[in-house]
Amino acid sequence: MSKTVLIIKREYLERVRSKWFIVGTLLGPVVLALLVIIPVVVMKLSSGQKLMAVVDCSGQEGLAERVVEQLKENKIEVKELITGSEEEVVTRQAGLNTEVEQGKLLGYVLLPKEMLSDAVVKYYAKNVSDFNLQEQLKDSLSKALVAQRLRLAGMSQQQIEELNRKVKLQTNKLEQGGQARADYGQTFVLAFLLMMLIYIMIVVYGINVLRSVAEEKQNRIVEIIVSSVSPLELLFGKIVGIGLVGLTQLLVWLLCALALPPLFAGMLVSIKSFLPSINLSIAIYFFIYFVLGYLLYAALYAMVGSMVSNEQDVQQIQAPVTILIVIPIILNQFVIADPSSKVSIVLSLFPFFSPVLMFLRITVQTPPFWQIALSIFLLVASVFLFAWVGSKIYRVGILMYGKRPSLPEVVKWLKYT
Amino acid sequence: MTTAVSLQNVSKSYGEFKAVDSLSLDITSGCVFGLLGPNGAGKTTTIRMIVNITVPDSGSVYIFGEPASAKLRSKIGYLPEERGLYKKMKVREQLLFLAGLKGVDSKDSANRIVTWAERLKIAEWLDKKTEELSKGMQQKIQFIAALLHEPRLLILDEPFSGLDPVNTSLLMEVIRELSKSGVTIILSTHVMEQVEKLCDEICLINKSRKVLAGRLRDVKSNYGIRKLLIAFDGGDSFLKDDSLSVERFPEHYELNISSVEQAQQILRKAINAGAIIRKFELLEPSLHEIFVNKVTGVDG
Repeated sequence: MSKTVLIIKREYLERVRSKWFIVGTLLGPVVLALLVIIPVVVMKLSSGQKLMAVVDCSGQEGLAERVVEQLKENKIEVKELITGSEEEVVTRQAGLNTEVEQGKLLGYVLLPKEMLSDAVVKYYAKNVSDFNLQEQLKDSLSKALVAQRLRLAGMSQQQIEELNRKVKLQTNKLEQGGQARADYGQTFVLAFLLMMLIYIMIVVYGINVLRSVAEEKQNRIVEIIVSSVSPLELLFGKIVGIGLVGLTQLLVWLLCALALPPLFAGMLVSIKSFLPSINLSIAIYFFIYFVLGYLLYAALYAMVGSMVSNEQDVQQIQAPVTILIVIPIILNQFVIADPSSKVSIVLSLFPFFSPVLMFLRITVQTPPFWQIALSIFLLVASVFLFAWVGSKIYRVGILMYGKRPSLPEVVKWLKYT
Repeated sequence: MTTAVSLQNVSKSYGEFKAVDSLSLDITSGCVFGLLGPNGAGKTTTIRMIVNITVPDSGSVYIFGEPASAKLRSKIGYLPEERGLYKKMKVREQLLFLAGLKGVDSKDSANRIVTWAERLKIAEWLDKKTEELSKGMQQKIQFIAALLHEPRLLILDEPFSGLDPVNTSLLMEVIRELSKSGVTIILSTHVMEQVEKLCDEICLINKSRKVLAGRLRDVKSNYGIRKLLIAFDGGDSFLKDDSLSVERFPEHYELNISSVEQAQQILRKAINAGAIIRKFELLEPSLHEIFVNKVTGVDG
């Protein structure tokens, strides 16, 4: 056992002392913050650029103005308003077409003469597949049309505004014991951040195991090591040592997160309502799913790492394992949208996905306890299974050089004594 | 004389490939044993079974009378042919780590590291990173790593490859000292001169089977073909005989002969032909020739 401790110590110290660890620990939170900030910024930037024109052939007094007003509500700016009969505007329309062509305008809407009766509006643009924009247009135009009809029916401006008033949706997250808590999207931000964190940590430290195994094999020191300890002790020490580096990094972040708020208390008060609060149970689940997910993927990465003899093959062989953990990241939207659907339940129980998806469900909408327990049970069983298979292949693989083995060859390795 | 290592009918296959085929050999305690054979003959697999990195499919391996097992690892020092070190680690740290894996406590190994580094003239490099060392220096570090736990059995796979002549002699000297102090040494190499200089016993394996084994002296004297060296003044017509294989050198001739009687005959012929003999010597076969002949199948 003391030999395994020596291996754990070496793997741990080599990494914790490295520049890579210090830079990674400092940059980690920055990268996570960017993951949240970038989409928001991109959305802001793209929403400020919607310029349009309105061509009014309806002959309805005040309709075009209402349309412009409603478009403004949806953040669509009207650059030009042209009024006249359909014959009169033909030449102006040609000018608009050129402007759209040159990209000066996103597009323009034409309010035809029969708009009030037919409720049809024509939209001209280069890109007609932006459904989001089209929904906004429909929404604005319908509201303008309704307002126009109400006006014609003799209602006052004030009455119309009263009738058109929008509903404000106040979201409340129901927690255990039926307590409701006002929620302004923190749940989503928190769930997304923690999911990305657990995913990144598993991949980064899993690939660390792969590199470490492949490196020892490539520089051939592995033969000296296994003449002193068993391959199993070496593999175990390696996975534990590298895993402890990951936990150390998490601990550093946690301590910083606990220490920082009091320091910047004043600055934080204003945005405090937007900061997600992490409760103890989520922290515990994070720990459980990170540790088990890491162990499962570390066993897989170690297994494939022991099969290859050169750097090029290392790049290639990690792909299948990495894809396995990218899949739940791709699927996370479905799970967030409906965390308790059958698909979500099945996906989140699958051991290779559960560290990401079951944990995501826990943060979004805590599932029944039996599902959590089942996923942990399946995960633990898989860790044992793949640690067993992985160690059998590792034991043979680290001493085999030459061409990359085929799958049938690897299966044969399982039978070697 | 006790036996340090004994292999009894040992076989090992990888899939269809038979790496070692019913190999039996005994290594006398305290001797330097040469394990010889061409590339791919099964030497490394044999060594791995002795070190207990791999387990034979059939047959048994005994080390100092005990069946080979993990607990005997602390008695064996191993320098593999394909060797490496952790590049980023400092030399001293690395040696402490490797000795620790063999169960040496750090105070003892710290002292031994200094002693051995001085003996191998590499002490000033102990606090450098391994990647700064030349290949030859790294090899000396690996050699030290195999010795720090004071093993009773030392296995050296091509220990001299890549070393300059000065370091080769230094290492040979150390190997002789170790042997004198009672350490059993298994030496695997392709360089037959080194075997002749160091080994007491040898075993030649080819295509996963043993083809020759025994004390080096016995192997040589039992080997059929001998060489006759002859140098003379005068005509060489007496050597023109189809049954003789003659090699011509600037100052002398070498002939393959099968018996002492044949040598006598040739001497008689030479004198009859009026040659003035300057040198007449029966040569022992070199291990190099025995190796090449056995492996290429020219003989036996």
